[in-house]
Amino acid sequence: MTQEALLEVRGLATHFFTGQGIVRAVDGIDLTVCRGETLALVGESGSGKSVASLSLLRLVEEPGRIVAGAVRFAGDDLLRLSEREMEAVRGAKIAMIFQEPMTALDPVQRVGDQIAEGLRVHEGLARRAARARAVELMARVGIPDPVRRARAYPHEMSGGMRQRVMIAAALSCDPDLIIADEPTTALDVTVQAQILSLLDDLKRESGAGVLLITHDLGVVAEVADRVSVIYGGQIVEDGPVEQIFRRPAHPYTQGLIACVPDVELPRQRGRALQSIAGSVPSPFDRPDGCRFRDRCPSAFARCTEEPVLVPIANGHSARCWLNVR
Amino acid sequence: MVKFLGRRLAASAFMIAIAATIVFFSVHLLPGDPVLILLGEQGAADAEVVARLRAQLNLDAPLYQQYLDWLGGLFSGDLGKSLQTGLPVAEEVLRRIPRSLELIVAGLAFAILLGIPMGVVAARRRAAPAGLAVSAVAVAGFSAPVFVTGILLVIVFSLWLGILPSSGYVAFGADPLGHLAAGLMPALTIGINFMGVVTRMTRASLTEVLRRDFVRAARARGLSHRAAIRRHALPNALVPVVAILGVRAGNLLGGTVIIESLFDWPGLSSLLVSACFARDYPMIQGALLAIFVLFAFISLVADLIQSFIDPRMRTGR
Repeated sequence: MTQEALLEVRGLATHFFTGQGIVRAVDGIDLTVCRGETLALVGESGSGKSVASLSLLRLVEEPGRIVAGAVRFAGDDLLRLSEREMEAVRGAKIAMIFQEPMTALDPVQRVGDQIAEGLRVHEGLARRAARARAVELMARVGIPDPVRRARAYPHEMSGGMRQRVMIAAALSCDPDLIIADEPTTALDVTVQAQILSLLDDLKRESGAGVLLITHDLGVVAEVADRVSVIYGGQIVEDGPVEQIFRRPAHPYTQGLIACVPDVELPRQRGRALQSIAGSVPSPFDRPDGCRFRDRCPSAFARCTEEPVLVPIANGHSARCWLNVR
Repeated sequence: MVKFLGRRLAASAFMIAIAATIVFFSVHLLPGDPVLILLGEQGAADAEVVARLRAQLNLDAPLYQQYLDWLGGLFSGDLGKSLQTGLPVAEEVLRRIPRSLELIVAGLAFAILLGIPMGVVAARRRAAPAGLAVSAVAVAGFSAPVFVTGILLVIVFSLWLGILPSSGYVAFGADPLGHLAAGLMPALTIGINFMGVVTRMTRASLTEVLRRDFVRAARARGLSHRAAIRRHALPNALVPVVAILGVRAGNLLGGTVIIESLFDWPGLSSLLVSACFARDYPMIQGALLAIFVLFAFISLVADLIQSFIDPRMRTGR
């Protein structure tokens, strides 16, 4: 897989300057998304994955600030663009789908107009033409009776339909990259699968790259090509999806995979649900050295030194001393 | 929408009917005898004169009879005759309504036109000097008692600058410019107080809305911060502002007493006050009823504006 890189994030760091101190929410991460590929950014809540995705679009709000790094996209470093130039990228070249379709849609505006909004901003379409395109987009994402539904308000639609509206809005300007932040978390399980396969189909049709932010390894296994695991604001492992699932090299990734309940077989009597001991360390009080060492079952003396991301196999690397012999 | 309007109108009619009843009985519970007041000390000494006048004013009939007469009169637009002047109450009330209403409407317009932009500035630059300055003006505006604001205006515009009359009323038909000049300060007094309310409400509501996901989603679609506020955040933020304004504007109808007497403006409130002093039952009832009807009307308008902005209001959810 030697594809053209669409998005290259290098050393991105976003810190929050709060009254209680500096929170290093994203602390020097590298990500690469190729055209037509889905990269899953996997982590627990508090790992920094959502802040990372907002940083790419430069939508982090005060007291958060991007303090270092580069976000190379289509020949530009997005972090060096003016605000005006950045507005031309958002929605047109990079679109975003949010976790909660209820709160991410404006409750007092018709959904058709919200889908059409990007077209009006970026392509200067008149209201009428933009509305017609919105109806086409709604049909494309599988919303029945789109002419009528375009005039509906968000509260008149189901969660799955609302997420389709979000997707239609994201697709409106044919973006090269789609950032989907937990797009299925707020939905029923049955609807999740539909939305995932819709996203996958659309990616195939358009050839766009997808950055999928999720905590759900089930989702990752289904749609991702490559995986980056984020912990404590750092990438702790990344690689092709089969490698990550077959030979996870970081104890954290191993723990995450063990946590996924096995639905195929009835659970053996007495076998408890797996979990990772402890919880994500407070960003004010992270251990020195490896950030996972307090929770790690295989921690040893060297873990007090800060580990680096070391290659294990082609395209697969992990930030753990166990892999350095 | 039509259904919503119908339901809302029915509710208003019901409210007015209840108000008419309450008005009637509460007025008759007032201590003091209008006949004695009307006759003065000397006339009241003669029992026969008192009885005659009482019969003439229909005050000797049993209370339920008077109540039915009052309700019956309502349907034909007859609110009785003033005990003081003998002129029809309805006529006097109708003459006064537009005078009070114009002060309120002008004050509201001033408050909205200034208060909303000020609220937006205050919400966007909460910690910056501009935001703090706006908030300070708003707090001063709504916490200063209206008579203080009114007197300050009189001092500045009438005593120092000498460009506006300090009080009085001029009919629009007689002298349109003079009418506006006379009404400007009372309207401004209401407006300054309201502007403070509008600014504070807009600021609080917008600050909350700006944190919501859909504003960020709009930004992610490529809207500038300004456009995201104008198209998404502000409409959402204004729904509670309109609700509060409706209630406050309705309250103003009875609350302009101070302003109307300060500026000697013959509106509804001053009519009500003078009628109370004279125990002029029919006039008190008429003025109170007019206030209730206007209150119902204003809150109807506020509801309609709200449901126009927020589709969720229409389905009653």
